Amino acid sequence: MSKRDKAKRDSRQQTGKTSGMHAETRTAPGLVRAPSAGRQAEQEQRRRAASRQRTRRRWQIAAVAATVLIAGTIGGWLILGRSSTTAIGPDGLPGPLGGSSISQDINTLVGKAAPSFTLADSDGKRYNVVPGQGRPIVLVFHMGIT
Amino acid sequence: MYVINSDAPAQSRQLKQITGISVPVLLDQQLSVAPQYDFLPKANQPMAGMMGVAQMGFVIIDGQGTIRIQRADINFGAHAGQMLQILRLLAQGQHVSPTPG
Repeated sequence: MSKRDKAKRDSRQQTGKTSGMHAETRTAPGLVRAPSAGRQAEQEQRRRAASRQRTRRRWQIAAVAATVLIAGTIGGWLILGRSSTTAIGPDGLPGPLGGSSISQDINTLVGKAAPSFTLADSDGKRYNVVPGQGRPIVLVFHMGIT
Repeated sequence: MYVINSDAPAQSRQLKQITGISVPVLLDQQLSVAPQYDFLPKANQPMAGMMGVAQMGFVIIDGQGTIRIQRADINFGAHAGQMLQILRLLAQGQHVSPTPG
């Protein structure tokens, strides 16, 4: 090895000592010594910082998702639930429930006298239904199992 | 309370067996009563386009014989609580008086 080469090597070794963990000191051409303790500490620090950042990002995503979910729930309740429970029917009575595809007021005969009628049940017993006898009547129209 | 449908007697007996219903089930096979209460399916109603059956729903008539609620409802079984609430309100007079029809 020439004097010049030796001086270069010495200079490299000196730089490695002074700059600490940033330097990779070559012991022989083509060989790299294992990272120093300082470098390992730096890598560990970087890993921890990255991990903290990932955790922070996950929390931020979770917070945004929770906010959207809560806002959606409240909005849905205000738009659908509240309106269906506070709907007003004729004469201020409770209104239809569940949306117009489920329930809706017909109202073409509200306020008018209910017609009387006579129908039989499956045993042939005849029922004469006469509204206005002092007791309320509920008629439930059903499609049966026809 | 009366249930009205267009079943034949045999089908009605079957319905009673299946559901265990205890109120009278009246048979309107000719659909003579449903139109009197305007309960044949119409456009934009929950059973629009169906033929030969009444629009499912309910009518509440007060003690004076006036129709107070005339409501299409294909899920009225789930709304039985509301029907009772309406009857209670009518009994207590906690409602606006009906407009003469």
